[in-house]
Amino acid sequence: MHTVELQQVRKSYDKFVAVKDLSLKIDQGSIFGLLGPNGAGKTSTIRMMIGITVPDSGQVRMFGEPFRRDHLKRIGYLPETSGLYKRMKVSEQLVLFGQLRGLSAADAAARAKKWCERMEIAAWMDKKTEELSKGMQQKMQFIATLLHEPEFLIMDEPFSGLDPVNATLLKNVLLEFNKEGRTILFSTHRMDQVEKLCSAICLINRGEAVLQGTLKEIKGRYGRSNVQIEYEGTDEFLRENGLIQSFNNYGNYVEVRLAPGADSQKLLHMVAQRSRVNKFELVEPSLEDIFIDVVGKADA
Amino acid sequence: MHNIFLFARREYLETVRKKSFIVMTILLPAMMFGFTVLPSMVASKKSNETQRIVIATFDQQFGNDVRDKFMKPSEEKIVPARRREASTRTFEVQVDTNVTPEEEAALTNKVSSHEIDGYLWAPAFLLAERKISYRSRTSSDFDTLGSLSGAIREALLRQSFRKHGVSSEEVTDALKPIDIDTKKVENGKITDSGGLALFFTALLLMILLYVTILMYSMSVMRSVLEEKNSRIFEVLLSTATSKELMAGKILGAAAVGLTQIAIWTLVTSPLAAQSIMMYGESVHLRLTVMNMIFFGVFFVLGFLLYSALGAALGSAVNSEQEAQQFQFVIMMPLIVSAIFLTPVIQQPHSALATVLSLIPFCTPLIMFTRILVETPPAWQIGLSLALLVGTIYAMLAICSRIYRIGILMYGKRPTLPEILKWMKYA
Repeated sequence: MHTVELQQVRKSYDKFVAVKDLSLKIDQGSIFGLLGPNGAGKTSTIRMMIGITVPDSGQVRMFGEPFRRDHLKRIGYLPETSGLYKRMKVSEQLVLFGQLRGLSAADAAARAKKWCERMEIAAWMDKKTEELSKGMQQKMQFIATLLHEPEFLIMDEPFSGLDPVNATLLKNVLLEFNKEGRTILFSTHRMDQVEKLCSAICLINRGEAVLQGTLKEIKGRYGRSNVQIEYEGTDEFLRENGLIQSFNNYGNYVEVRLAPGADSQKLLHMVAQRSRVNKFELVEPSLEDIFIDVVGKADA
Repeated sequence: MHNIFLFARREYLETVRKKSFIVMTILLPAMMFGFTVLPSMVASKKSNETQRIVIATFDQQFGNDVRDKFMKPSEEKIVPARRREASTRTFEVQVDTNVTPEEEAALTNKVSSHEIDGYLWAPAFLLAERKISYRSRTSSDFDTLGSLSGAIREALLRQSFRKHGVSSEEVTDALKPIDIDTKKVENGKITDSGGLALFFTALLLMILLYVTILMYSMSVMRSVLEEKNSRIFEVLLSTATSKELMAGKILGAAAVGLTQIAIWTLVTSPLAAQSIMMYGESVHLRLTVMNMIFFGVFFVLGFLLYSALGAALGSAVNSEQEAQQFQFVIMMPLIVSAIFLTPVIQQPHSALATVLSLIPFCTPLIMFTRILVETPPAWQIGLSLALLVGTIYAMLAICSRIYRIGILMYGKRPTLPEILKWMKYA
């Protein structure tokens, strides 16, 4: 079953088309990555998914049915920019959000307490929201999103503003939720953050899906066409070389994308002639490489 | 409905806990106290002083008449008891029949040396020309001057009647003041509410309506604006509709307004009673139960309407500065109602009053005033209420649309055509 199914959805604001006939399916129990550069249409897509805006055309199906407002009680949405009432007390605010999703006040309060302890902000529960740091507010927003234990969690840039320790805290909670069979959608432009988490992705650019499928399948499609080379000496080999399509020089090492049909052994041979090679490894392209590749092609 | 309640409660609690609410709640009664009770207290303090006045006239009888009238003007019912008490000082009045220029100089010296406070200079030739002068250190004691001039006029009348051989009793009888008591005929019965009382009642309630509506419609506007800028709407709209959100906000604000009015009423009613007493028994706040119910209905509806208007403005603008420019949209209908209050009170059945009272934005103030003065036909009240409720609902629908689309397109101020287009969106 699919938790979400978008069929040819389209949204335009005036003359600007934010989402162009996008179709995607998110499997139940999966971790799905909605990826794309800033302004690609990720947030517009999510807003249509949960009924904040209505698509101009196309259909949104949720939990196997056409979208209805009462589906929202089974969804948790963490927006990109934190949206909290500044002057409200942390505990009161969490209870309000719980109640808005159909929990009783007492139940919401008990859950809020439990989660604040887990997310290490229990000491701040009686403070006003505006007294919390940005990271703490992000954690609070996170709690508000999952207080009602939704079947489907939408995380729009969930790790922004969090240090590595807190990001891990958040990630572990999400993985736990996923283990219980809940579906998670990550929307981000930070590919490296979700690469290790997602099982399937949809890459969108300028409102259109440019690449989608399971991560395995996509990476398989690109093959082990990347080479990481650690070397000493000249980097002349990077220039005027028909074997190399593109490269990324990180200083200590360089990651090279081979031209289609190029033989990696020829490259090794060429590099070894002019420089001293410490490491030469064939690797799968990172999501970021694929992203740059696909988007670069689309823009060209 | 549940969501509306949650939003309304949140809005209510947040506003009531604000410092500005507490300050306003205390400040307004304090101001009322300052403007009404303090002056009367100060005025009554003054009455401890004794003023010495000399009436210098050749005619002993005339002098006595002036003195008697001046000392006890109490037969006149027109001057309300309370007011007289507050403003009357103790007087010592002497009649001096010596009107030589030497005496004039002597009296002037006495005034300078504080021996007396003033003297009335009325020698025969001046009296014949009706050009009497009163000399004192302060020439602006209008209270004393007014009483003196009344007393002199009556004394002159008595003098002239006496010349024609009319007895003193007959003169007193002829000079008895007339008291016109205004009564209102309602449903074939004569009721006890005088015109002045109605005017004051209408004015008082109107100020209450005006102040609270203005204050809280602005506060709703600000609250919507804040929500927009904090981007909380994205979370809220993923759980509730913009209509629920707006309805909750407006109802919450109405509850705050009612709380405020209730507190003010409780705190100020003793003070208000005191200040109304200053104007004497002729002014009563004749509020029947029916009128109180009407006040409640029109207050709540007026409040809802203007709060919805505030919410619509708040959702259409992007900053407080922009919002300021549009405040007149809220204030204009209120000001228009205030301007037309007097003509409406004077002629509650005129075409002007009828039309104004049916315009929803004026209905709360004007229709309520009409009901107070002269109950309009039931169909007019019914129609005005229906229009009012309909407009509130329409405003709510419009502002929730502007809100929903306006917040998704932040950055620039929408043009009017854009706003109109938004309203058509689903």
